[in-house]
Amino acid sequence: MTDAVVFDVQRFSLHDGPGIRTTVFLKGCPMFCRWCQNPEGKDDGIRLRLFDNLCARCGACVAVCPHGALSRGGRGLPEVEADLCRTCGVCVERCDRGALALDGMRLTVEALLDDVLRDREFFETSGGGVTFSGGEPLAQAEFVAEAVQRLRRENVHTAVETSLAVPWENILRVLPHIGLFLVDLKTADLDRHRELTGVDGREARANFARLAGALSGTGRLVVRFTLVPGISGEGEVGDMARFVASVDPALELELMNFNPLAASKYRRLGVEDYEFADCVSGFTEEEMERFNAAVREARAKAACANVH
Amino acid sequence: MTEECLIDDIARLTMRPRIGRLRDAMVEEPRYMSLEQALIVTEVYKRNESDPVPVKRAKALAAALRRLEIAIHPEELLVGNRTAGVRGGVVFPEAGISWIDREIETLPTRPQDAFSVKPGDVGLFRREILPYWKGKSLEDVIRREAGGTVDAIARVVKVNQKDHAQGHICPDAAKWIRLGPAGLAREARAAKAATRDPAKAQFYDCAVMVLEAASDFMRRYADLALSMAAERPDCRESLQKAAANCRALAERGAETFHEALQAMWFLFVILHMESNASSFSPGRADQYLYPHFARDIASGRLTVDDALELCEAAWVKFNQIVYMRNAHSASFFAGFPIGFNIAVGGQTRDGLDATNELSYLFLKCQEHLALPQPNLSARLHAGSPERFVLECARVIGKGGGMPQVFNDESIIPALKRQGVEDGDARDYAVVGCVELTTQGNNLGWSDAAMFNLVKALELALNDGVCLLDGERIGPATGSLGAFERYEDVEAAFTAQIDYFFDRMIEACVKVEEIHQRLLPSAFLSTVVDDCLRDGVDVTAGGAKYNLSGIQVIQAANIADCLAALRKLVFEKKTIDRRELLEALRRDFAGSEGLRQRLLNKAPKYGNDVEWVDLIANKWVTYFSDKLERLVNYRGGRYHSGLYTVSAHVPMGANVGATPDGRKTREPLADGGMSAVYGRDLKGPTALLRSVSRVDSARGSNGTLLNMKFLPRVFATEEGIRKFAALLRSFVKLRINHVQFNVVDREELLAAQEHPDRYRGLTIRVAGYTAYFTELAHDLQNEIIARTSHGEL
Repeated sequence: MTDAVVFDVQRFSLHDGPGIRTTVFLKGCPMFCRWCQNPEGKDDGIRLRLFDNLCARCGACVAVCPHGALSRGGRGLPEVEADLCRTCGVCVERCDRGALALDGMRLTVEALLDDVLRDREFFETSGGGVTFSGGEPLAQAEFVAEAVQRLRRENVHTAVETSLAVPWENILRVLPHIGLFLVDLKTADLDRHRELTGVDGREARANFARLAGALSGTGRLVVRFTLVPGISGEGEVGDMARFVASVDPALELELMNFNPLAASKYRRLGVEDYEFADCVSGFTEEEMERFNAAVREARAKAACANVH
Repeated sequence: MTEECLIDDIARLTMRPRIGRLRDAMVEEPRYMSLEQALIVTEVYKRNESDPVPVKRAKALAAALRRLEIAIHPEELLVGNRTAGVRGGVVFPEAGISWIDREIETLPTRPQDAFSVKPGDVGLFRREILPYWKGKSLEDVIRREAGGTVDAIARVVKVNQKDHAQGHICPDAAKWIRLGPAGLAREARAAKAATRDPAKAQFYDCAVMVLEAASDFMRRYADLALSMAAERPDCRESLQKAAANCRALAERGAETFHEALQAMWFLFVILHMESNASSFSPGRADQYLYPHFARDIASGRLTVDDALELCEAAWVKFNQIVYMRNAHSASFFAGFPIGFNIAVGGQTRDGLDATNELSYLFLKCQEHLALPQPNLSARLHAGSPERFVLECARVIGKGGGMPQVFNDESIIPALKRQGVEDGDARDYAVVGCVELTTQGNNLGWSDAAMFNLVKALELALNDGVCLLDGERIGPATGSLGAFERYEDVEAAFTAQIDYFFDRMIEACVKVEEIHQRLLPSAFLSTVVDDCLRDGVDVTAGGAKYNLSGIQVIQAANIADCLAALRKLVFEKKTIDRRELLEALRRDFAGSEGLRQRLLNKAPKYGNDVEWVDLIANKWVTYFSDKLERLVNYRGGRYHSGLYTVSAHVPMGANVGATPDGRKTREPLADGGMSAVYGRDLKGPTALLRSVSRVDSARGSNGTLLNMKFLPRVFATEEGIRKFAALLRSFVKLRINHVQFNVVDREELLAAQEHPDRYRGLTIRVAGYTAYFTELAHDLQNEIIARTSHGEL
């Protein structure tokens, strides 16, 4: 039975495809985007996490750990010896306050289906379904492929939110089964791609072109671009719009505003050097309107160029 | 013009300035306590001491109709009120006198629903009113004859209807509009001529007496409007029109839409004068006003713009009558929930879709005015038009808390289960907040009592002894320390419920009997079938249906408490039962770890965990089964409701620490079907699935589910469509009721900080909408604390 590491199953998602959806967040991502909004999804293993604001410093977890992986550290808080921790969850179960948690769970396709099909009623009335997100869900393409085939048999619409920074075979594996691809393009500037995301952008770009070709005219592809304060400007937005139009003029580019709530996730994970920790708001409505105008203008020009 | 075109037109309508002026004038006017009617009634009673009670009551109402000072705002299109000022707190000594004596000095300063008192009124009350009624009012007689029982069970059961006449009725407004007081009086005279029963003859005499006075009341308004028209040339036309309407309605049924609305409003004014009770509800006004509307539109006599203005004029009027409760009751029912409930959409008596242009027009009134009254309810069913569902979603998104949503697919079968005939069940309406009723033929007595199951569970765990003060109030059924199995807890819980249940029924029977003796209601009886046909007063069982509703409080807490006990104490045994009992007795002092375990290590209702949700269902069903075996004093059935309105705060204040980790005196879950706030963590779909596991048929008296959404869900057309789909799912899940607050937490905090800037902010408290800034501070906090849904 295929399984995967999942860090969240979020019901009543309204922004990850059509209708009311359940979004499944898979752990593990080949990219390291500086602004990453789901830091808990970066790494593909399961780790023990401590929420120190909930911890009563009672030491019960240390006493109960069967592997000697926990010890009392500074300020009485438990410390984890990562090499010794087998993420068995005994301490999590013991902690009365819920201060310890595993940041992911290993789920079989079967178990995942039982969970997501609970909201079938809502999928049916709204034309919604299940979206796989992450992390990079297509890094675990085998699992996603099996899950979406099963969901198709249940008549549930499926979508995947991906950067496409995976081998083409992974994409090919799911291509026939997924109802909607929500592709996140990271930057229009290939030279900066590695600086911003930690990986070379050529693979994702090539995959995008092939995918757009394969899905041309089907309406099964939506391109999204997340705007990041201090990084994204109108010029780059225009470039991105031109690039997308050059691949397929019929494709729309959807701009996503930066979500400042991610900062609190980093704090919870104990990451102190998040570059956008002080960024308390995304772009204003007026700024978003300017960005959208830049997209419209670039597309109009591209359309003209095509005509000539 | 086709119906679709007309609905397109309605979507574009704007509010006329006149309506804004009428609304502002009303909101700005201060609220006063009013003794005027009490003085008239007292004088009539004194003068007619030897008359039977029904005759005295009828004479008193007739005198009030002929003598009360009346007033008209010069710009009004619809006229009438029971006081010359608006939102007066009418003293009604027939029903409640002692509480006013106790509280009259604090009325202007009490935290909830304050009223100003005019200089001299305190003395006048104590001199002219109190001495006569002391010991005679409903409140005093109930205290004397049933006070022992009521007090003995008070911590577990709140017996209601002890100091006011019976409301929560949906009168036969259609018949009233068709016949008017003159037509009904003819019917009563004919019936009298045909009877030889002196009791019935007396009933008909009383009916004629009040109906004739009702016609005179209308004529007085006609005269006043006409005299004002002479002085106010700027308003001459509308005042002359009002005068003509009133004059006509005194003699015959309504012919035009304008007349029909005026007739409807007079009906509710007079019902309030007779009974001063909460929740006389117009019900399905979009249905019974439709023939007049359609006829006037077709003939060109009326435009939709004019129709909207008239409806909005009625909307303003619905806010001009409030009901003054005692301080205790005001904390349970905060913010003047007078309960003018109007239900739009739904099915016809034959099961077809009933949505019409007026359904949309009423939604538009709500969107424009966002006033607390009327309490607008939308009935949805599987066949509701998509456009109507979307329009409901859009108006809900505006944030006024309305319309609340009712589900035909579960409610109609639930009512049929109570013996209601098919057509009557499909024609159901809503009274007050969320109480379900048939229209025009039911004395539903929907707020007979509230039974606090959580308190009964407290007693079950502590051998019948109250955790708050150590007093024994229930039978000795053992204590948690001695219970070896989960089943032992259930047995003790059952025994405590049974003990208080029997005493509650005893008290309810007594209360109904005293109502019948002291407050027969001739006028109300003329508009509730089959009283007039049979010559039997409505309080004596003259209605076609005679239900009594009792509320089961509070399923969510019971599920959470028993789930924690079952899982942690009896299955996993990670908590010692003696230690837990001790911790409960100490309100968890020194046992915070234990409390956290109860909170975090046992699943909670509202998260789509089936076995937990089914605990809620099990105890609701147990209680409801017991009720349904009984017959009430009027010969009808008891049934159960699952709502608290705002009573979860005071009822929680009466319950000690509980095994779900709740500390002593903290509020219970709000609503009735809602999860304990902050404990439903899986979003709205999971909550709805949990709620759907509590059998909706056991909520035939009404259920209440609160959900709070952030405005951003409604920011786009797509968001509105998704929300509408959520409503469709709610219908499929067969949940009776849901209502929505759409507001930002920041906005609520700001309103708390700067009430003057947020006077217009309305918010769902429970089954009704109130001005947020008029709510007591702790209730405001409680609303802010409720979970809100919507992604960030």
